[in-house]
Amino acid sequence: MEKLINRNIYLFFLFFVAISVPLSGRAAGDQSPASDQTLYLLGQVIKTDTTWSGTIVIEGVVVIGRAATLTIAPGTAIRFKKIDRDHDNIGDSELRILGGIIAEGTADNPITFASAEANPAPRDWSYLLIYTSGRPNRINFCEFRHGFSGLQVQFSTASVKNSLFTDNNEGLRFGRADLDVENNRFSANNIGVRFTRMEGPVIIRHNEITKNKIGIFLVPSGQNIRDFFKPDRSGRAWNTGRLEVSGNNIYDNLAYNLSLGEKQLWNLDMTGNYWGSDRDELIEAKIFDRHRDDSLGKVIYKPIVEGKIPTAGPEVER
Amino acid sequence: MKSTRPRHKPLLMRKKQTYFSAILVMAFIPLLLVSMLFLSQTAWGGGTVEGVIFSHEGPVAESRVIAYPDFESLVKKEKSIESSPGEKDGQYSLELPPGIYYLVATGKLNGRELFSYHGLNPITVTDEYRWLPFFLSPEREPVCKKGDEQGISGIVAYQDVPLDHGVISVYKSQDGKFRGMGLLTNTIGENGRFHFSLEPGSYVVVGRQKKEQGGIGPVMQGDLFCYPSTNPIIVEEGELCDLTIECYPRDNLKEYLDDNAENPQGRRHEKRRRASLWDIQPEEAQTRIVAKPATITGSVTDLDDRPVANLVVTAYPAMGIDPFQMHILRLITENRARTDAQGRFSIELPGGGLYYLQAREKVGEAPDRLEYYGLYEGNQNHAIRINSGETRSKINIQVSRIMPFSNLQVKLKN
Repeated sequence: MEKLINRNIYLFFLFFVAISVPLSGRAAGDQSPASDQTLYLLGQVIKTDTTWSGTIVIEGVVVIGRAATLTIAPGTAIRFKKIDRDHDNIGDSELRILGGIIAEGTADNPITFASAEANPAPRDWSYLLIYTSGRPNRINFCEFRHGFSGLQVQFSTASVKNSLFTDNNEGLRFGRADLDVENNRFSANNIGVRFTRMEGPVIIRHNEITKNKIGIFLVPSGQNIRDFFKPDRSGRAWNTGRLEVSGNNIYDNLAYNLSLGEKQLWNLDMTGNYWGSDRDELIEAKIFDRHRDDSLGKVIYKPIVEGKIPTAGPEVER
Repeated sequence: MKSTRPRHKPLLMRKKQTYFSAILVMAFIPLLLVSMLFLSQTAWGGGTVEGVIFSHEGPVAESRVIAYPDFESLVKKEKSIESSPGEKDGQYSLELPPGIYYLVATGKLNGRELFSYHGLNPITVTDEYRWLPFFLSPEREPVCKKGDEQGISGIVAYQDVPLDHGVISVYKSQDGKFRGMGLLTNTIGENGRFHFSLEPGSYVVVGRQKKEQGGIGPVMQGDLFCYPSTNPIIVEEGELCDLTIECYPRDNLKEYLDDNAENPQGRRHEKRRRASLWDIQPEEAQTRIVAKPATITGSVTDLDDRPVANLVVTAYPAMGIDPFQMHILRLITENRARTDAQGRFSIELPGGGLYYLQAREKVGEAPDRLEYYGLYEGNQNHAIRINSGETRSKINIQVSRIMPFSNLQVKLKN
């Protein structure tokens, strides 16, 4: 009972703050609290262009409506309360973009997305989800921590640059997307980059993908592959012209640097990356493909880049 | 507690009782008959399914419909209930207790075995009358060969002509319903060809062709439904099974029958039997099922508040999934309507509950580049809770074209 009363008081407090801060004389659409204040948001749909700065605490699902663009100022801290209504051991709090998002921090002042909990852990919140967006979205100099996925891009167009994905279940997940992923660092996630489609265009270039359990994991979607085709066993790579993965440092991931999931039957061109070694047997030991399961496609990784690529990873780290 | 009474009475006493019992039974026979008649009219909780079984040449005399309680029973051909023949060739009548059934028809014509799996399977039988036609196709065994490839391939055809468009889906046998996109769904390729690379296992393959390219939703009147009689297909290690799948047009007899076939709908002046093809049009029969007690009406507009016509608005029943999850929008439902020229829509729902609302151009595939798309934004759950019998109006869904081009230049490394 005491817990219930405390929770009700807390919710009342959240409600009071949630309605009082936007009503405190700020211009419509500007939800940013003063620099020393925190804006609490319960689940809601934001339907007009909005700018966030300072600290934003989200409890529930906040949706940026189709007509709106969310702009996040450098240095803004977005924190997600851990709630789990459906008891799936994944925090329900989420930021869902149907309209657009421009989240551009700076090297000195990144935007951070993380758990609001005192003892944060991966899966404390769901994700920043860009879903069926009608606008080009930009993520630059951002940090994602403690999410189920830090960022998901589904049926949307986005560029993701100079950002850090760490301590998430997955750093980045995407499906059908028009996506530019450059100069990011994926580290200490269960999976660094996970994707389910290769229709593209998608570029994964100059990223540092290391110390995850699995660096890159491809599990193809069974649904609606664009054109009907038979698996190509000719040795050609199927992602050519659709998905480019090059110039990345993909190394020291705990289980595999690259793993093909069940049903991933097609050969993949993964040439031009650094794999932590120039010895075939060491590289292949960290790639799960036809070498280990002959029902899978083959990862074509040669030619490799020998030695770490100095331009890979966020600009701030170089 | 065990009984202490003797298990058998003395013989004389039994004999006397036998006479008494006989008199008693004879006295009660009329009462029993009246009771049975009464029960048959009032307490029979099952339903009647009737219809006609066709080949391209017309109603098939040597045919029957068989109902199975689940797909496993269908595969094993057990626990079946068979139809009784109607008055005329091809007619059937099936009395079933309330429940869910898989209905198939078999027949023989000119020495060939014919088969049909109804596209509405599994079919819910209530005390409502149902009329279901069956369209038979020749049974064809798959040809499975060991080789480099493993899975299922073949041709989808209608009246021996390969389809030029449509989709084909493969499901795991244990799926049971074989609706929606299943394990894999792909477009049918040139010359009606298809190919699935699959792990060894048991699969059901189903083809569908909408009458109009880009048509929406479940198989409707005139759409082709294609189901091989040899489902489920068993894929063994290192084996590719090739098969030809015949289609039939749902509820479109005129399209299905050969030119010189006997069309029972042309014999309307003959003595009619209750509720057969002679006096019920297929489309009418399909609407007899259940009244729809809840309605959502509203409009779809673009970002400039202009109405958007010809979009499909779908109300996905939550089925216990709350809050919203992306995969809900992959489930199949018939709760949908198209927007009119003013962007207005009206969806009739089978009952109250929580429904997720979506408006878009296409149905049955993932959201696509530059497609008009929108979710209901009245709340962050994109959902409406409605009571049975209630009408919710003025529901607006805003849409925009999604996935604009970024002009990314993907390097061609090979």
